[in-house]
Amino acid sequence: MRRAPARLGSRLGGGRPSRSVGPGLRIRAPLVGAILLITATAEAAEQRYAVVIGNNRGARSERPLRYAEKDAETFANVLRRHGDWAAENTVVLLGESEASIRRALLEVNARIREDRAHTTLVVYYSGHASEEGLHVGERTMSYRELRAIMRGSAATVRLLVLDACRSGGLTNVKGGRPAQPFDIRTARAPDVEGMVMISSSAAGEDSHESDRLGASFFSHHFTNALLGAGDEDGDSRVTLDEAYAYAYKNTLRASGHATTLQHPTYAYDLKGRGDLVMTRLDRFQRRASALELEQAGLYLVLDDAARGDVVAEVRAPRDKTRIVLPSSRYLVQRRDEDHYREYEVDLAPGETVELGTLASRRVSYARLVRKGSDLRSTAHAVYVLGGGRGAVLPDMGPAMSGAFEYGLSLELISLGLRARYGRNAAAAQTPTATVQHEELAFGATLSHFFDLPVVSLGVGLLVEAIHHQQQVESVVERERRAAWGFALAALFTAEVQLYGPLVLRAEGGPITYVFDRAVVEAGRDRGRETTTPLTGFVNVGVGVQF
Amino acid sequence: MRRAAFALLALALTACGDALVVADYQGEPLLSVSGRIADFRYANDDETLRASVFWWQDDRPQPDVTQLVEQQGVATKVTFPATFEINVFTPPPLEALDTTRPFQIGTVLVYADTDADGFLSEGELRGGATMFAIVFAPRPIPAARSPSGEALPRGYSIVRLPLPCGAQLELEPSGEACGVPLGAACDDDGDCGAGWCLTQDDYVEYPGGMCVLDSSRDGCVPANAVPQVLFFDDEFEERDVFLPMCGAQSDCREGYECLLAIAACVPVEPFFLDLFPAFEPMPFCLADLERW
Repeated sequence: MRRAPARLGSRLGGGRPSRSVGPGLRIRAPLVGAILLITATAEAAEQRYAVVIGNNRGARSERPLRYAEKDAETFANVLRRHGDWAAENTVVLLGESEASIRRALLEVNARIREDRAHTTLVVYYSGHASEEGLHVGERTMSYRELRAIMRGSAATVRLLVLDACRSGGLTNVKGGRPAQPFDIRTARAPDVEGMVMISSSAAGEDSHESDRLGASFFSHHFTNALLGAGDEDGDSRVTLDEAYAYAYKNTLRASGHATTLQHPTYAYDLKGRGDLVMTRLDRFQRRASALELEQAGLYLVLDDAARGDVVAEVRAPRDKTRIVLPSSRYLVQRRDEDHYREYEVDLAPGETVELGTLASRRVSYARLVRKGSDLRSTAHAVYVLGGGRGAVLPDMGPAMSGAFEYGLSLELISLGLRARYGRNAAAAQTPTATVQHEELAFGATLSHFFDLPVVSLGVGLLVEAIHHQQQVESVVERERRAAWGFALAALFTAEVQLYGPLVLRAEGGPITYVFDRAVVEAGRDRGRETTTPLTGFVNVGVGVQF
Repeated sequence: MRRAAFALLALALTACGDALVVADYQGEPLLSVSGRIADFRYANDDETLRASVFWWQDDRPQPDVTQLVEQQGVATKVTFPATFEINVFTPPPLEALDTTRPFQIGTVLVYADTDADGFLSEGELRGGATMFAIVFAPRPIPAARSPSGEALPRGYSIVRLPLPCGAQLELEPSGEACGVPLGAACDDDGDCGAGWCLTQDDYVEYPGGMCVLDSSRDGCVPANAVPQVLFFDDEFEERDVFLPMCGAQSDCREGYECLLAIAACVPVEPFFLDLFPAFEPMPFCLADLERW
């Protein structure tokens, strides 16, 4: 089975131990950057077949998945549009029964047997599974049967891809087992044949879906790899080993935000060596376009028209990585260490757009965090602010102040810790003395921000503990008074991005001070009373976000 | 529960330290005078009265109202109907200070600033202190040079009138007992033998009562006695009595002070401000007062 997003939950399948996949199948643990090689065939003579299966429903006890059928559909589209899989040779089964799947596999195998050409068969499954087999509705299709069907296929090259929980039961690889890197790349050998099995997770692991991506982690990254993100050598051809390596790295990285890690695995049984080109980026189908990413790094491609849905999360392995996308308008974010850069891209049919030539906008991570990001959950900032407040004591006038604040942005709220020094703009003049008022405040802020195109507006609260100091100077003496109090304010904030990580902040609101003031009669201090004067404050300053 | 705890914490926090002062706060006063306004009936309801400290500019025994210098840096509080407080936060004004003299004498006057010029003008005086004066000494004054006959500290002092102003009384401590425990506490005349029990005169009460002896009759003069005239308002009556003699504050009972100008124990009195028509400031020294 595959693990649905957290809000849907999931149930693990059966806990029986994994079984051997047979003496003829060599097994390798997953590795970042592992190179999977398979016999290549002469393209001109090759026939490609695919059975693409997606089923959101598993056993009755398993919660339905959200994206399994969508992942299958996307995968099939990529094969057809960019991978030389003819539509008539690509069978897509969405929500079909175990019997239908078995029948489809047998029918395709029958067609392959009749085909005299060099043939490649890809079977893709996205849905629930356990360590025993695929959960197709209430029925289980065992890995033993699936392997037997694949092994019995007359296809020269057979590729089985499972995106399901504990699908490592197929490859018999337990999750997280360390292994040494290896390299079996050799010269091309057109007569090579064999079988490769890829699973989205190890035998004991869950496979995760992401609401943000609208797909499972593995299928999303595997598909993106086929669309160009995995083209590590930049030859506009994405081979199976490139796609697997890309999907492995990014699935593992993405699952780092989930409760359990997810390690894609593979097993192969090959004779001969070579590259299997899965997709070609230089052949655009109708309504397809390409986007050339200016430099290596992490990119997020958002659908500009559909509420910013994530179309692709791409970790470009090199400069000028090219990915294929449907013609549309996109918002592309390039993630850097302390900010992201946003591009608006309009991809016309058949067009290749170089991202580096487009105008971009630098955006702080605070906005990204507030949008809710799997990549970063916090953003930081420091601010220097200056401003003032109204009078809080009769005839004492307004005060000027300077503040230093550290800010922490989370998805829903932004927190701040600040230290502030304030001083009366002018000493209050009594008939015989001057009174200078100073305050040193330590405060905390809590805000919720609304990010508009140019400005971010925040609404929140400010609480300060304030140490007041007064110096009363008369002609004959100097008296110092010190008192503690606090203040509570409604905090309204506006932030505008300036240059680079610099941000301009203006804030203000009504503020209530609470402190004890002297009861003065005939010029003398005759007691104390707690007072809660209401006034306003405003601060303006700059900050650095990181 | 949490709200209550927070409120308590907040109150505890605000209770820490001093109370903050506002602009009408002037610090600790150098001189604070509080007392009663003896008779408020002479004040017009539509007048706002001001009380302030005034200083003499010359040595004339009776101050000329037009030559008085008003003290700056004075804050007053008058509570209806008859109490007041005057706080002085600065030394006397320079124009009132005569550097050739070891001290300066001032008084408290009450006036209605009818012309609203902020100063005492002719026709505005309504009353003032009749039993007390204020002395400002730039340096401490020894008793021998003090107008009150007692050593005065540096700064402001309140002294009771009249002042001896250096005059030495010729006292006659010798005498007879005359059958009266002069100055003793008493409840009624029966406690005072040949004398009588004085509990109140026109102005003040005599705390615990005081045995006195009429001096208007020819006869016995008690030892350590000082003749004085007392007024009794109820009967518009004057009575000549012998009061107990003193040479220092320690000679008088609790509740009494030694008025050195007359060398007699008299009740400790609050600072009175008297309001009445045609009020005139009185001379400070006993000799001048007797000539006034």
